[in-house]
Amino acid sequence: MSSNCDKMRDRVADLVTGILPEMEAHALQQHLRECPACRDYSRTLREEDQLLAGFFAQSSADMTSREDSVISTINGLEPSGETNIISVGGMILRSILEKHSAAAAVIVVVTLYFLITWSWISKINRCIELSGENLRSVSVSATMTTPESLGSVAEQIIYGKTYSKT
Amino acid sequence: MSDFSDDILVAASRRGDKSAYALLVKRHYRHVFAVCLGVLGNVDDAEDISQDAMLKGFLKIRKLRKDEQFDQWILRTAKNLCIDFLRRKKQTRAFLKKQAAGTGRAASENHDLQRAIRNLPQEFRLPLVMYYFDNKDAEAIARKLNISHSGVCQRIRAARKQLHKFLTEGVHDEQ
Repeated sequence: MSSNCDKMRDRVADLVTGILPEMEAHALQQHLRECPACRDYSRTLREEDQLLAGFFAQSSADMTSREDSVISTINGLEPSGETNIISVGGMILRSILEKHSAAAAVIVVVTLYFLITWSWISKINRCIELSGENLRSVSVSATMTTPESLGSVAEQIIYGKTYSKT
Repeated sequence: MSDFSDDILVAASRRGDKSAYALLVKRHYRHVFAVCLGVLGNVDDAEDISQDAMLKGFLKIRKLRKDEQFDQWILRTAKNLCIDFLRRKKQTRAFLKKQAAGTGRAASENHDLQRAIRNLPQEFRLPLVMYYFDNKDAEAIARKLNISHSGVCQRIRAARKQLHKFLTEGVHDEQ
């Protein structure tokens, strides 16, 4: 066996496995025709390849029954398709676009809330101011009335006298 | 419904449609089993874990991101379950030396072959198993394992060489 055979053995494994590029396969086939040792090695690997193929074919022979077993197990589960708020919320927030939309919606809602609240507070303040103005106008009117005039009115009421203001 | 794409079946499964998920099982279970067998090296364990993986896939399907493919997601789920299984079991492999009779002749018993496969390093065994389960499609394996095509070929080559060594010289305790 030449040193060249050591290099060829990797290619023999690739050839048998079926992953050797076509151009290299032609050169290797030529070498195998000329080298008995590598030819024997190739034959051994082919036997192993058939063993592997048979082994995995046997493993996959029961694939249908395994699949059916999985499906029957899943069919026996309780319904899990109901949507709930948390799962819907999770779905909404999943994509970036949806996240941005959700953020924009939140900002709009918060802004509207503050606008409505502010307008109500403004109205209430305005009412309070108006009430205050009314009270002040009444008190001003009251202060503008002199004690004498109040007294003359009182005497008129009590004694029936009339006074004229001098 | 069997002609529907995975995206449509996933959307239906999210709503709890078990028949849609059953079609996903029919499509992908084989690959999940291959990954489990490749990681665990044992058919019985691979059966159990692959079933667990498909079940978990149905229960957690809402966690599948919209930009992620179902097959990649379920294979990753299966692989993680396999790793958890190995960690729990704290498996130690018993290696038996068996002197092969003759020179360079391949072992003819499936038991020896299964043991030889099980004793391959996981990084070699997984692509080898997937290769035989996926009709020898190295490109598909590269995509599922998220490695290059040449990387898949290198690992399969290494697996075949080591397997040959196990079968002709006997299995050695490597770990």
